Amino acid sequence: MPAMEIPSSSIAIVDTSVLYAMGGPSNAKYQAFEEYVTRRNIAVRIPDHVAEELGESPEAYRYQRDRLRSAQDAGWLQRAEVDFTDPDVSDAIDRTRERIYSLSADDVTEDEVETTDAVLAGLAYQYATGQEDHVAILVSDSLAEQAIEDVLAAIGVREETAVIEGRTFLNSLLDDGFS
Amino acid sequence: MSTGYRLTNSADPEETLGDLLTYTELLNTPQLARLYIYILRNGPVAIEAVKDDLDIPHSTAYKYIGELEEMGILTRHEAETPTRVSVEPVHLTLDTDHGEVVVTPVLVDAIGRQLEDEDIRVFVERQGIPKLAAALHYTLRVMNGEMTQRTAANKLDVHPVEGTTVITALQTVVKEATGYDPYLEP
Repeated sequence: MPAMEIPSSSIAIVDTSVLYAMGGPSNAKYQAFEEYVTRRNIAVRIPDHVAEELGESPEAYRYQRDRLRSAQDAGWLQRAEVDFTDPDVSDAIDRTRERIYSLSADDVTEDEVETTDAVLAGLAYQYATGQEDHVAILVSDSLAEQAIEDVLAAIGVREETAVIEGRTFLNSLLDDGFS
Repeated sequence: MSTGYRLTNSADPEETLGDLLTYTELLNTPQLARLYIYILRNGPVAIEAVKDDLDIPHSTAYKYIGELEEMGILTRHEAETPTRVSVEPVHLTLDTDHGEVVVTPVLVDAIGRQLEDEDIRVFVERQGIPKLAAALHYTLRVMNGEMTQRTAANKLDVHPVEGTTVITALQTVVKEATGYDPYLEP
C-alpha cells in the first residue's frame, strides 16, 4: 500500500497538474490511478474553476482536455461546484491565497498568485464540513501543498483532510504494482 | 601613454566563444542533444549501443559523435575493443544584465526530450527554445518551494495549462538529471 493511503469510499480532490502527470489512458500511471480509485470506491473531484481553466486553454492543449474527458467518461472523475456564497468556504480560499503569497519567494507579486490554487482548499473545507469523513487533496507542488495544509489545520479540519503530493503518490502506486 | 582600443574587462574570448558555439549547436539540434545526454548518462559506452538504443542510423550516429569530438567534449577510448565513448558535462556561465545565467546538461536534456515527449514538443513548437530554458528555470524554483506552478506560469507569461503542462514534464527531466548533471543540486 502507498505510504499516503486514501481511505475507501472517501473523496479525493485533484489538481489538473496531477492529471497531467498521469498522462493519457494508455499511460501506466493513469491506469494505476484509475484502478486504485475504482477499486477503493474513491470519488475523484476537480473544482469547476480548475476545469474551466482547462477549457480556456490554447487549442494545442486539446489533448489535456481529452484526458480529463476520458476520466469523466470512465465515471471516476467529476467536476465539483465550489460554494463561494458560503462565507467560510470563501474565507478558506482567501486565507490560502494569502498563505501562498507569504510562502512565495520575494520576487513573486500578489497578482502572480492564482486563486485557482486556493480554490482547492475551499472545496476541501466544503466537503470536510459537509457529509464527508475524509477528504484527500492531491497537488503537485510543495508550496501549494504547504499552504493548503497550513490553512486547513488553522480552520479546524486537519483531522478530516490530507494533502498529498500527487507525483509521489502516482509513483508509489506503480511501485505497489497497480496495473 | 597608450590609449589603444580595448574592450572593458575582456579576457581572451577564444575558449568561451568556442564553448558558446558548442552550446548553441546542442541547443539547436534536438537529435544531437539526445545523443549527447545518452552518452553522458551511459558513458563510457560502445558506439554500437548508442545507435541501437537510440534507434538512429549508423551514419547519423557517427556524424554526431564526430561533431561532439570536434567540439572537444567527447573522448574516444580507443584502447578498448569495441571503442567506447564518453562526454563531459557542459557548463556555461553568462554574466548578463539580469544577473548570472547558467547552462548545464539538464537544459540539453530538456531540448532532446522534445523528440519523445509530447508536452515538451508542443511547448517548444509554440514558444521556442529560450522560453523552454525559462520554463526549466521556474521548474527548479517550483521544486524548491519558491512558488506554485500557476505562479510560475504567470512569470513565464503563458496560459496556466501550458505552464503547468511543461513544468510537469520538466519535473521528470530534473528528477532524472540529478543522476548525471553534476551542477544540479538536489
